[in-house]
Amino acid sequence: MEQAIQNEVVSMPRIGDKAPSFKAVTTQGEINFLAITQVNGQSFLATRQTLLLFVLLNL
Amino acid sequence: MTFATMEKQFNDANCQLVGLSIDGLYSHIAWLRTIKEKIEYKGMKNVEVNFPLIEDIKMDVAKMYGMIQPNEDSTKAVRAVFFVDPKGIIRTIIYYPLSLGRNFDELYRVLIALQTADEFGIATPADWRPGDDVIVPPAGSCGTAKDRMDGKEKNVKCYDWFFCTKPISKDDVMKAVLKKK
Repeated sequence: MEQAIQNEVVSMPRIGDKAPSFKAVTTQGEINFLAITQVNGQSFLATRQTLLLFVLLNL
Repeated sequence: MTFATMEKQFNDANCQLVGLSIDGLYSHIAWLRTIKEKIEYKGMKNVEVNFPLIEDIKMDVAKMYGMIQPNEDSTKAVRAVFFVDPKGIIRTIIYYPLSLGRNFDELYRVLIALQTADEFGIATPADWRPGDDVIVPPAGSCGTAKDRMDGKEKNVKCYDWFFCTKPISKDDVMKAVLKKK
């Protein structure tokens, strides 16, 4: 089991890489990350000069 | 909680926050309600999280972003921060172990420094804060190097031909960064 977990390590993104895109459910509706144009009425990418900070929060 | 209290400050600097946690949507909602209604911590209370919080119970996104680091914990995401620019390019990555809280002042400094570097075509030195001198790109020719060393480039101070700085006022930095809104 432990070996299986060790083997499950996925590659980590690097600075300069295109951020991995994904679709997900959020507390404010669905998002299509990096294809986002609007979430909850707010624009994310491409529609303005927005620097998007994507931060992981831990419960 | 801390990030939620700083959300407007980050928004004002052209930044949209997105959170992620390895848990289900209803747990997220319950957690956000608890934060707003019950938690008082370090002077923060009635804190409302207005940015989207991604549910990631299958850890799909967390794995995609390298947040699951089995030697730290195979079922919890390490604390991580990714700055993604408007072109979708990752500009900064910061990982912390589970036991180490993030420094949100540093995250704001990163946000301002990234945009300052883009706006002015410079680099920022260690511990840079808006108003501190910035590093100008190395001279691309012998002529430029000589001009710099001879003091012909206005406001540029050279410590050697390859290491020169110039001042940019805090006002200029903040004007440039905040002007995009």
